[in-house]
Amino acid sequence: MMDVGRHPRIQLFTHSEVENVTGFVGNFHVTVRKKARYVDETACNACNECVAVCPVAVPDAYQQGFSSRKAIYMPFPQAVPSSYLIDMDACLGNNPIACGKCAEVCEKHCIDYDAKDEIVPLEVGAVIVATGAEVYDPTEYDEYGYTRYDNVITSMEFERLICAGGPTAGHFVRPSDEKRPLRVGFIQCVGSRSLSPKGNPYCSNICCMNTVKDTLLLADHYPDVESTVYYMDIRAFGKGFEDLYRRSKETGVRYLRGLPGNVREDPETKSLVVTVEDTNTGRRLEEEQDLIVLACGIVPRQDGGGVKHLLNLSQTADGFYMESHPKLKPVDAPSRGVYFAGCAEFPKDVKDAVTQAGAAASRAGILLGAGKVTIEAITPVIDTEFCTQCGICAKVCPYGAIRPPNVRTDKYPEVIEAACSGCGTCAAECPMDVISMRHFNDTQILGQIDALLEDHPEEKVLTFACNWCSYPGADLAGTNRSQYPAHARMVRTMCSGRVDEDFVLHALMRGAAMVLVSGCHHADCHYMNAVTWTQKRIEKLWNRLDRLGIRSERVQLEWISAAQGTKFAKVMEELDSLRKTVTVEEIEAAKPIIAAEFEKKAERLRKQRARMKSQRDKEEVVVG
Amino acid sequence: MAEKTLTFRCQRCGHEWEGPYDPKVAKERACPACQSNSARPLLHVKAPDKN
Repeated sequence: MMDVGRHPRIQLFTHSEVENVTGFVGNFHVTVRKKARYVDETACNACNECVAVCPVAVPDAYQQGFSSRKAIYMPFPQAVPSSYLIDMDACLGNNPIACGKCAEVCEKHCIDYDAKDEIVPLEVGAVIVATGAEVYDPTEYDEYGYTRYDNVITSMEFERLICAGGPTAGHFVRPSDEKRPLRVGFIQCVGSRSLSPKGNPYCSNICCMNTVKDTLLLADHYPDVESTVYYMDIRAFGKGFEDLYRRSKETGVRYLRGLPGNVREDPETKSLVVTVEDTNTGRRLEEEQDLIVLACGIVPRQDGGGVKHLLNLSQTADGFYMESHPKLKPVDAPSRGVYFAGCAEFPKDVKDAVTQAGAAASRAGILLGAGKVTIEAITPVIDTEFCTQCGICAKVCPYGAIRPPNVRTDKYPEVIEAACSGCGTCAAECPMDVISMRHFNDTQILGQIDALLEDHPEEKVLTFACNWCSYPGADLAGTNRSQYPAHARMVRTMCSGRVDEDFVLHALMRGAAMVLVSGCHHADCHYMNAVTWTQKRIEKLWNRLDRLGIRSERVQLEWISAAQGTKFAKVMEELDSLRKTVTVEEIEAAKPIIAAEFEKKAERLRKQRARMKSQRDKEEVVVG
Repeated sequence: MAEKTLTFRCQRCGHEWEGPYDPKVAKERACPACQSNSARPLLHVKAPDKN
């Protein structure tokens, strides 16, 4: 942090917030709100005189509330810049000044009660999101008694209690009576790996090794303390971690496999009675501990939605930011020019966070060093002549790569090619059919459908497969030599979002018995949320087919990942069974109905285009 | 607004079930019987009131 603060080419904004981000890769316009510190950080030499006279004391968040700080304070000892700031919510004197003691004693006249937030505009080429995560709040685990019992604390609180710079100056005491505990119990997986409504289903990655480290710290400083770790599994998979775990056991730390069902307090001694089943022996135990430490998991930041919105990011079901590709682009955000470092992406330890930060910096460096961006070859082209400026294309674009139109200023939607990844959702959703995807345009895809259904279409299952998941899934089924019926015919699109309703109807009109639209699982979508538009579109199509009297089961939807070759084969088996139930009469009956639908649409477009043309001609005459 | 409960029908096996539905959020759904993703929300079919 000190190095960063001193680096001549790094501009560090602390106590600041990113308010707005516009633009795209290589050309981001960022607005930073530099919050007022009320202390001139360039003049302040952290002499501490102001702190000594400040009469206000509030709980110190850095010390987990175990001690207090003043209204004028330094957030933590190694803070950069090394200067104070005033917490105006707690300060007695701002406007009008009611106290002013800090200003009176400050010889360097650093205090400025009238300081204002500063708005700083920045032009940057790349953005690294390193917004971190939060510690799980274990209050909902009522059975452990956190907040009810003084001596049930979290692992973060334990860190402060045992730290030499902590509220007790490193003297390890329990909160109820400030006496040194002799028996300490650690409960693992609090808020992690939970399938109940309490907590989160994922493993938080760091809690096991943090507890192992804590037990070693205790054993090192206080050899007479008996430590017991209640766990379901110890996940010591990193370099040197197994050794650390072994060392912890060798120092006498007791590892008991079983998570406590209940913790209750002895009202007299304030000690805690833990009820637990040792799952290795099947015995139910009741054990007394002087202090319980809850190894709390990691959760995404509660305010993460703001950054998500600013940078057009997507989140996994867990709430952490989703990377562009878990294996091939693990530090890239789906939005180009945005990278991740640390727990914003998923809980990780220091080593992994540093590794990822290095990778993110390198990725950004490569981008900036090149000085130019290679854009996708597959981008949309908007024919503005017949665009109604409805704005649907801009709304559905997962990347915000289409500048929305404005009817009042007669501004048409504009594709930012550097930001576009080429999913084709805009083209599929355009009600006027004025968007054409380069290399995946309507003529090309309809041509493929026609060719695939040339012979015996009634025996075919026409499958639209996305480039990243479903198509490789089908490929894997082939390389695995999975057996499935030979009636599948594949049309590859970059994303299932490209699959226009008209493509499916066209295939049915050409006599395909079944149509399958397949794409990535929602959490794996390579185009952020494009797959959700596919789902909505197919749901609408099912209703439409029902209205037209066509069996909607002839159109199927499936999410198949690149690793699910077996699933692809299974789906093909199932669709083949369904295909056999579709009669030739049924297929033939549907053809004229769909043809009439296409004719109706063509007529609607013709009329609308004619209306637009005549309107434009009138405007030209007026201007002329 | 809380998610409402809706009846879904599997387009593959015909199984019907009830589940949460928010028209603004397209969640990945699978048929509890056959695991197919062709889970169709039946917007015109009201889920029975549990109360």
